[in-house]
Amino acid sequence: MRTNRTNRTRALVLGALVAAFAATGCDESIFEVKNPGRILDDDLNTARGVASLVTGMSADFSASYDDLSFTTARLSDEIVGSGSYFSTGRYRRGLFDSEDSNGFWAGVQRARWVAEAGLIRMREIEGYQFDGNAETARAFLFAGLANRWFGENFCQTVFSEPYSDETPGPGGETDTGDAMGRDAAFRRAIPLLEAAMRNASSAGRSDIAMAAQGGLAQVYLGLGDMQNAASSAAGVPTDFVFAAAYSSNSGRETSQIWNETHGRHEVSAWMTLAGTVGAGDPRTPWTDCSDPSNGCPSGNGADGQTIHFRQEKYPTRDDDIPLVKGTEMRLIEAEAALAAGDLATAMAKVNEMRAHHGLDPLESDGTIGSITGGDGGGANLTSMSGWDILDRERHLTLWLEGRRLWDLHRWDHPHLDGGGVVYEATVARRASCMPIALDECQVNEKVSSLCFSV
Amino acid sequence: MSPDSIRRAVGRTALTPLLAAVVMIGTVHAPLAAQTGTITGTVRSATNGQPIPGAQVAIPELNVGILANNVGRYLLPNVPAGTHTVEVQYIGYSAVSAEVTVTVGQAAIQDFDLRSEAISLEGVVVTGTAGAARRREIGNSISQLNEDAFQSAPVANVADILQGRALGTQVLNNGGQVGAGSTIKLRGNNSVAFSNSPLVYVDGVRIRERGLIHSDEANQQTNPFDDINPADIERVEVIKGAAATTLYGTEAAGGVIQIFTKRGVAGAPAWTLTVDQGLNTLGHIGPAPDVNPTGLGMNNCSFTGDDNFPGGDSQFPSDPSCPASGSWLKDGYLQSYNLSVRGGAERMNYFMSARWGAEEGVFDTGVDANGVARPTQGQESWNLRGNFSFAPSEDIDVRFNTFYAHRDVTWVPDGNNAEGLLLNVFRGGSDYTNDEDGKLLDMDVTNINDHFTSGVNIIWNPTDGMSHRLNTGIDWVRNEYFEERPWGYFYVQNGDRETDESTFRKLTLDYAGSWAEELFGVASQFSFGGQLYNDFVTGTNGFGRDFAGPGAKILDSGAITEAFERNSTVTSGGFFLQEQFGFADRMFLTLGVRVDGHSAFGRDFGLETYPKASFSYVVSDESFFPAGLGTLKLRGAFGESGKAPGLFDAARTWSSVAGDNGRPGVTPDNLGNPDLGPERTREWEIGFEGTTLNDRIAFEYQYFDQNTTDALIRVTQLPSGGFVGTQLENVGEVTNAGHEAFINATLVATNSIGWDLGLRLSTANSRVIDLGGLASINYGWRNYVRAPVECTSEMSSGASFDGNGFIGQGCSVGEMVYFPLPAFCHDRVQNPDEVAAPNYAEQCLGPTTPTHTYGINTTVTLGQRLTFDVVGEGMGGHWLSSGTAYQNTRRSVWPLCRSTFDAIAAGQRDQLTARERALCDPSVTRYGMWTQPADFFKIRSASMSYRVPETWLPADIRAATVRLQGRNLFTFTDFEGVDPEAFEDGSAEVLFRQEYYNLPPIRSLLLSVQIDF
Repeated sequence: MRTNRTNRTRALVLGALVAAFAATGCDESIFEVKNPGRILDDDLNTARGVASLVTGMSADFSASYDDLSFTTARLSDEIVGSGSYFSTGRYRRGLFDSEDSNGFWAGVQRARWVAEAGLIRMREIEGYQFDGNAETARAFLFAGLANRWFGENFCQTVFSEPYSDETPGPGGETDTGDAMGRDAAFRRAIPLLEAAMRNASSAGRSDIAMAAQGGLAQVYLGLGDMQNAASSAAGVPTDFVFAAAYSSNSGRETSQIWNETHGRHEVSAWMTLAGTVGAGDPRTPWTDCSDPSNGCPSGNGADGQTIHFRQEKYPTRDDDIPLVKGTEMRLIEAEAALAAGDLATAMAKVNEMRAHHGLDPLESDGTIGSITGGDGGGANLTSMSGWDILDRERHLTLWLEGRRLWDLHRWDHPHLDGGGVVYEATVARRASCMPIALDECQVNEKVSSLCFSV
Repeated sequence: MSPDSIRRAVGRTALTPLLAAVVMIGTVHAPLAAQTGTITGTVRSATNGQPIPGAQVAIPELNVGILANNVGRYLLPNVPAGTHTVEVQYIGYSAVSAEVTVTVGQAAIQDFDLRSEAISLEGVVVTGTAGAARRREIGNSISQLNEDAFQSAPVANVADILQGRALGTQVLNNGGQVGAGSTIKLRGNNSVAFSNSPLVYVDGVRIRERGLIHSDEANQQTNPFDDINPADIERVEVIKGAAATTLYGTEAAGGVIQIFTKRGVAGAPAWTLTVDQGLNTLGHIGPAPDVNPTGLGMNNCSFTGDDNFPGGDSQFPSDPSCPASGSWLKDGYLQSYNLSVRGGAERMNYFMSARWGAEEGVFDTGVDANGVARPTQGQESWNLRGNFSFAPSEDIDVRFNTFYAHRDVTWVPDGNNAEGLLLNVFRGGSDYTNDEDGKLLDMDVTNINDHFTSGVNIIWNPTDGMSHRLNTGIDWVRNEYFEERPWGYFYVQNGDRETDESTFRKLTLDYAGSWAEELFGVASQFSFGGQLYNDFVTGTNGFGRDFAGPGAKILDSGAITEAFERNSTVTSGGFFLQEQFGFADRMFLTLGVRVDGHSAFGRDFGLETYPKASFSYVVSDESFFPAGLGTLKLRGAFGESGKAPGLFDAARTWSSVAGDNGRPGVTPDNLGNPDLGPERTREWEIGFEGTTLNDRIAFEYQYFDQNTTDALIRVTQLPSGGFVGTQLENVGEVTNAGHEAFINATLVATNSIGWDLGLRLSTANSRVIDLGGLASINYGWRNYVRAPVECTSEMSSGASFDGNGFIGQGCSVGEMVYFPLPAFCHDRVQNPDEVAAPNYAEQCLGPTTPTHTYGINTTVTLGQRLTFDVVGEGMGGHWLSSGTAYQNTRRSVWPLCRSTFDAIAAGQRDQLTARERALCDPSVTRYGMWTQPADFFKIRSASMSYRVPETWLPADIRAATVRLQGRNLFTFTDFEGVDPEAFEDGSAEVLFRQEYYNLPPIRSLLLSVQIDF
């Protein structure tokens, strides 16, 4: 028979063994993170990975640019919010504050940073021929166009140094940037786009070079440098289009605008300029869903009240959103001409664009005039002055491309003074740009006082 | 021969004489039969008369003991003639004793009725302790629910057991679709970034505690917690805060729920068959019938008018797709059949059960365009369990527990969903379907769960004072989800299909040992052990769209397909040491420490250490304590626990994405933080518990105070630095404090009438102290986590709407104003009485989680046969946004706003007050105006049980009980939305709440028959 002592000794030994076994749970190998599907940062430093890096730049650009286009369309009354979204209720009344800005600010900053930081990485990757490479040209192009996007849509800009192992971000030290005017983004874009042109030319990629040249025209327009804008635009043929890519290949690649208009009924062309001009304009096609024969799921928008005029510019989820196109270049030339008092040249450029779309030429009333605005989705439907024509033609030509809010802002458009479509603005002055995001203000002390809520 | 409680207890220094007597039975030499007699009888529950298998019956003075068999019967043979004190005890019941006189050669009959007593100081609990412990030794509160407490109630799942019964536990019924999981929280919220759900163990094996795949069409999800057959449960133990959960280490800050299933007992097979038949129903929905005769179009979708609405209700016109019944609602049939058996021999026993159930929801889904009946919302489920124990030697007990469950749930699209049924019905003609809402039901949404849990418990008690316990097991859950819009579906005309197959596997390895000695007159119990948990998740998600034609589909039927995979492994583990000192078996001091590692900790973080300390003092054992006053224990506890960050939060990573029409690309994923560690919740708790008036009154009270430091906050990364999104940082601080109390009283206890009454109250008030520099985090739908702010004059003097107040109202300028976790912050009208357009200002209105829960339960037993049992529960202190009211108002289809709509239509908008316009003018109303206090009181359950007289039963039938039961019977609330408990995202692990067009909790009525044979 066992004694108590024997039992206890055996029990203690066993207990110690089991406890030791359990304690081996503290060995690092047991707790190693298993994370298939993720890519570690250092693993991107290979020449073979450059193509993926640059495709990622394009993907990040597209992933946010459709949201930007959709939202600025609501905010500028380019299309009327007809759904239930809380944000729609604000945007269509002209309200947009720093919290609203969060996602859009993050989107443009990511698009800009992955391209700019990617270029730094690419330059240092062993075995990768940086200069004269088409991938390099594309990276410069996306960096430049992201800065153009930044400058056109945001009231102010901030550039901070990218994170690194030495500067790990919140909780560590970072080089936070100051708030600057939107011109800073345009100026930042110029050397990037010029580099894109150089590298694209060396690589024999005229499409990239042309897109960069068009981007330069947009950037110079943003800076108010009409002469350089027009000269850059002149080199881009009317039928040229460079677009943000969308695809049904994956959910992330699909176009948000398609989803909100075809997949859902959250915005409508009803009573907007496009809706007023009619569905026959090839630049602004739409379907009247209130006609049951058109086969829409519902005749109304998601709010149950607004008639759903479904946009057909992007009839599938893989339709690309133009970023640079020759028709816009003609309008840039027309605007430069108007600014210089040359109505004839302006109308010629406008009609060159219209001819491309198969539209009849317009004849002005002989006056350059000014933008007067009106009930046509914010545009004056009847005025034939040069500026009112340009207002309508840019509106229709660049419809749902994320450009209208910028035009309203830079022209100090009358629609900003409390204008509205279907829903009246509830502020005297509609938001015409996106402010610094609340997320930026919360972690960047240099701009913390610049955020606001409405 | 021993049940689990005995085995756990063996080896402890404080082994009670009664337990020792039972354990020693195998070593007692029987006196000569000629000098002895026999004592026999039955042990039953005093509440419902049901037998208590496994009750311990002993004569301590003789070291004689036995366990009651599976029909509660016991037999003590060979008892020396004379008068002896026979004692009976069982976990969860007050011990009783009786003087029994034994005559030579005769059988003395002595029956025992045990009173359920969840706070008996001699009761043995195991959750949160290093091994088994008597309640008198424990310094923290612990809720224990025994089978007796819920046996008569209409319990469909574990959540129903906890709801209204476990102190400090909130169980919110989020929705009414059959199969939908609940939200369970212990002591409210203490974590900003992570789940506040408790850990769940079943027979020592950790199971998945969270919901499974969240359907973004049904906006509900099943919870594996609900797979456990409640009829298998013997008891549930709940510990609520870090002071109690320290030994569970990282991840346990939200508390621990441990479920113990039934075990076999010695004796012939004892069978129990339970048959439930009943219906699910839902009454009138929305505002009162006088303004809302159709129940927002749900109760009557072909309404043609009455006195108030001649010609029909223009807001809710007749729907041509309305079912033949004229309503989208029906009474759903429910049925279940449960068969169990328990029995065994002295060294080996078993418990087995099988259950099948089918339950229909309350939607009338009608027929499709071809006249074919659509699938019915509801679920079909079955469960199997086998629990086996054997004792290969006197000091070793081995238990093997296995459980399998299958559930097949069919959902209806619901909640915040353009294709949701309620959303479209409630909006009348202003909807997505051109008011033919039946089209929505052509979408199929189904969910299939398979759940397997198996574990082995080995208990070895080699000597007095020494014990070892090893638990190991697996919890395996497979979830299949299907969602299909058929070809020709109105909203996606080419149709699409999504499938998701996930497997969740948790492995548990848990050892605990203890060694008890008497040292210098002080009882010492040293405990040690370690745990290792491995959590593996894998799954694939596929999507196919654009079908070529009609017919049954698979993913490949789509012209475009997508696939996704997830795969992760998390390992956590640690060890603990604990020392308990006992003084005169009435004062106990416990000190312990837990050391943890975790996969999700940063590479530079290392291990985490959590200390604990507690004391208990059974003051009623002191000589100065007035005799006969009862029992009283004072206690206090301090401890720490934690919550681990997410799996990939510590590493800097990039994700693979596609771009440029399907080419491979990368995008920034996570910045990474090598110093990332768990957040630590430190809690102290102080309280008392006891009984008085001969145990007719039991009471408990405690105050707890939690402080979560190094709280994990998703700190926004510097957007202008490029890595957008958030990064977890240990930078926050949150507090949470509250009171908990209950009193259970036996008001009447006679042979003919028994009346028990219980009252409960618990509070939990969270407060955000620091967000690491962030001012505010928006969790969606205006649910905010906000850092304290200085009171401003605008805040102090802001106007409250309808007298409901807001956070900071009346504060002194300059003082700090703190916010709960989380709070609704909304625009509220500031000039309500002016005849003018409303002016709004943002105000934080109140918490989204109830701050207090109270309950009342009463049981009346007549003639020891007829039992009435009612459980009522109220919650309050919180607010809830009604998306239904707000969105319907925006569409001019909210019945409470009819007069304002009429005035506007009559061109009288300018004559309306700002209050009227803020609430009901579609052009200016704000969501905040339909965010209201959501206090409620509900009759959670009521039942009437009748135990059929044994003389009426055939000889082979031991007992029969008939029960008429109701669940979720009545709701009392001033909340003007659809239901104050409704939550559109089901049991999703999110902080926010809002009611948004989801089916409210439904009512169930059952007739149940239980036969023991």
